Amino acid sequence: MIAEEVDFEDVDLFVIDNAQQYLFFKSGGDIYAFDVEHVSEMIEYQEFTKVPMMLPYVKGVTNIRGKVVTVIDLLERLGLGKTEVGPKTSLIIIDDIAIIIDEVHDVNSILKDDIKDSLDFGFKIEQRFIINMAKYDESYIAILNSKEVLNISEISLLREL
Amino acid sequence: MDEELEIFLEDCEDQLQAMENALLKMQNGEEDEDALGALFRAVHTVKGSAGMFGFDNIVKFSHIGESLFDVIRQGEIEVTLEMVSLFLLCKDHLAKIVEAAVNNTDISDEDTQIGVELSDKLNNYLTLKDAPKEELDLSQSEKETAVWHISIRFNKDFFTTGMSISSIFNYLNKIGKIIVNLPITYNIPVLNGLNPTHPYIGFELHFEGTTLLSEIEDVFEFIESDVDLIIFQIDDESGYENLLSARDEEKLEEALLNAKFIVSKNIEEKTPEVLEAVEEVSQEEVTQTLEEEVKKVVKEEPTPPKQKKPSTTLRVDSTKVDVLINYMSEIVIANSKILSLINSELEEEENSELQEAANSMKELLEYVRDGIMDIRMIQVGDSFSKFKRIVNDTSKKIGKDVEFVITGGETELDKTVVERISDPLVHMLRNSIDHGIELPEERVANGKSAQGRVDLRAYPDSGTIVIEIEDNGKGLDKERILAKAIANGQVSPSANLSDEEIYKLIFEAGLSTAEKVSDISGRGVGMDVVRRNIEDLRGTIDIASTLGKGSKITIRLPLTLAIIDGFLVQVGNTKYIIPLENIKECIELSQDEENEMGQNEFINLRGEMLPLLNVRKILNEDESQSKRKNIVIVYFGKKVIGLLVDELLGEHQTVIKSLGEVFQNLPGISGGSILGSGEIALIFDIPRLIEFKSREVL
Repeated sequence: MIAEEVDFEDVDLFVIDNAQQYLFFKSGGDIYAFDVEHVSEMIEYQEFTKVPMMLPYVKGVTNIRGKVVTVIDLLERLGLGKTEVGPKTSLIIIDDIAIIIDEVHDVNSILKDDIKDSLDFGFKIEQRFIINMAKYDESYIAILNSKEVLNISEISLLREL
Repeated sequence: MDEELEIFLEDCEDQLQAMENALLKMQNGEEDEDALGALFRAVHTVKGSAGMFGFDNIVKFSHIGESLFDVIRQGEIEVTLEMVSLFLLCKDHLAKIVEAAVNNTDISDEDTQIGVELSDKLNNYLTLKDAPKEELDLSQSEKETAVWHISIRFNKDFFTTGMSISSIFNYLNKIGKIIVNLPITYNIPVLNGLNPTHPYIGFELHFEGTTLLSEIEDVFEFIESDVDLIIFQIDDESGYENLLSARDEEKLEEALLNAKFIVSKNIEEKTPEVLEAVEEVSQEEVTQTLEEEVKKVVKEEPTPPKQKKPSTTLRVDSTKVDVLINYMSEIVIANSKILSLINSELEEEENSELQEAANSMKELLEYVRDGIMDIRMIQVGDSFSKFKRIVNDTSKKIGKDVEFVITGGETELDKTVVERISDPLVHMLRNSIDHGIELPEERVANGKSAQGRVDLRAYPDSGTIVIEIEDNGKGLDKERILAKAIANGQVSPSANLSDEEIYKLIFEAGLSTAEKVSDISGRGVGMDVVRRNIEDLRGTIDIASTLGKGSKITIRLPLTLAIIDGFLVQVGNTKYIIPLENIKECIELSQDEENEMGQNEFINLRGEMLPLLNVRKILNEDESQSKRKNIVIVYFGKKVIGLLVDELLGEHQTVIKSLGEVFQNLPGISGGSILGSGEIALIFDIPRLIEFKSREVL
């Protein structure tokens, strides 16, 4: 949310037991959100080692403080093209997997009233990737289902040779 | 599973193993006091630990065994072979009920029945000797009700043992009664200095029961190194003196005095003498003079009585060691970064001292790393001695007489490796007995001794550990193996195989030449699984055999799973590590050879065709910027292939890290390793890579 429009402090106090916190970020020009509870950290984009034979969106592995972490391109995973790496490109770490996104936007809460069911159709990404739609900054954005985005049995498949 | 239950289970397993070892010794006629003593202690410990958890059925069952062993130890009953067999069955039953208790599953009716029968048989032996029984009863009645003072302090990491304080109280209340419980709370710091994982509390208890000192001590047996105990009978005048001097806590005296009203009131109705004892303590002058005296006593006797020798072993969760290893390799990497910075950023005259310091740091770090790795190493002997029983049972079952000889039990191997080779070894041992060793009559007819022999050896050999299983049985019949393999279509009839290749066929699926399928072996599933298990550990397995004389299986395992000697190569922008053990040689691919290759992907290496694997292709890397092309020739078993890479970067001590779940299906890559620069190199799994490529071609 933009600070001029809403008094941050008030909202934060109010939401402690009324609304969850979300991480808002940009990917492919659109804003999405993940439940903050699932996100272990956000870091600047860094180079990774390519791993052969994996599906295109599984980019490879990178070293985050001595830990080998899988790197996945969110845009490619959602079927919306490839993330262009720029100065603001970041990695969101969920369950030891680093997800490439364009830009971290904000961490904020969403009021319960502003959360709506996802549409049966009509949105450009598959419904299974979405938990809810939410009103954010006067427009509707998708809260992504990290379990589905990072579904191991799916992303561990090998590329057809 | 709860951590404490896990520890309990581990402890019971150790004790049961000790029982089995002792029993097998006795069975071989080596009956001696040591074995009996070990047997008694093992049952006793299981009983004690089970009591802490309230597993009454285990306590009840082991109690009968304990009493009987005790009588035997006193020399009042002779041990017969029959009894030893019965004890072995009891040990099995005990293992079963322990497992059921830990997993919280019900014991089947059949097992309950077995338990009852075993108990009856044990009791029979006990009642055989009426005299000792009476004596036992006598000693029971000699025990009068006594009140004990138990003073408990917990080590600061007591809670990490997984035990809870309340279970101690529960158990105490089971064998007697806690009549006064005075929590000692003055060691609890103010809130901001408080570490919530430390037990700052202590207890001063008055405990009443017909128990002996040793029985109270048994309550704490399981945690003896984690608590500080002082136990004395309450009418023992010197008890309080010792307590006060040993505790060295100023406030203890005060606390005991304050508690005296409660103490005296409760005890008054029960034992008047106790009151006196307490009152003595409560009189301040008396205690003060006592204290002085105690100080004298302490000076005279520097070693306090009944101090047990602290155990030198440490039970540590292996994940803690793994975490250490992880950090350790990080430090090594960070240090090599410092080294390279020194070299590149500083002038020569400036850097020599720094470089020296960083180099000695590197050396020290390697010592530390080796030390940490060493923690994971355990002797194979404990695991091997479990096989004695299996050999014993298997050979008896099929009427074979087998001498089983273990050598090199002190050889050390990574704990994970030891655990994971256990099942394959059992399988191969059974095979040796079932298929290898002949029946006694047959052996005699062939001019051999009636008793067969199976050897299990372990020894280190040039950076690897070798495990051998050798029998002097009938050996492998290569004609039969070949015939079967041809019949199965695994080998073409025209193939010209060497003896070694034929023997190796037994590691293929579906190949069993045993004429009769028994429940021991012969179903043709197994040896392929064995091979797979060994290869998963990056080991190799070979077999040699002489018809009529016997067979020898040789397993070669890496010392540890976590570190390998690797060779670093580069393809495009990606670095790869090839395990040094798989590398035969490295050659440069000349322009001539490349031209000769054309569209093919093999070269003529000294007259032999060598298939090439173009790593660039599987990686979809861009065209090489490097002018040189190199071939790393790798082999596994009989198969040899060349890996076409750009650069050869040299040897590298490789710490293997898992790439994670996402890459579980990826063939040919066994993990990653973080290089000094922080980037990750992928580690080739050469056996899998060769297998994968060969299958792909088919």
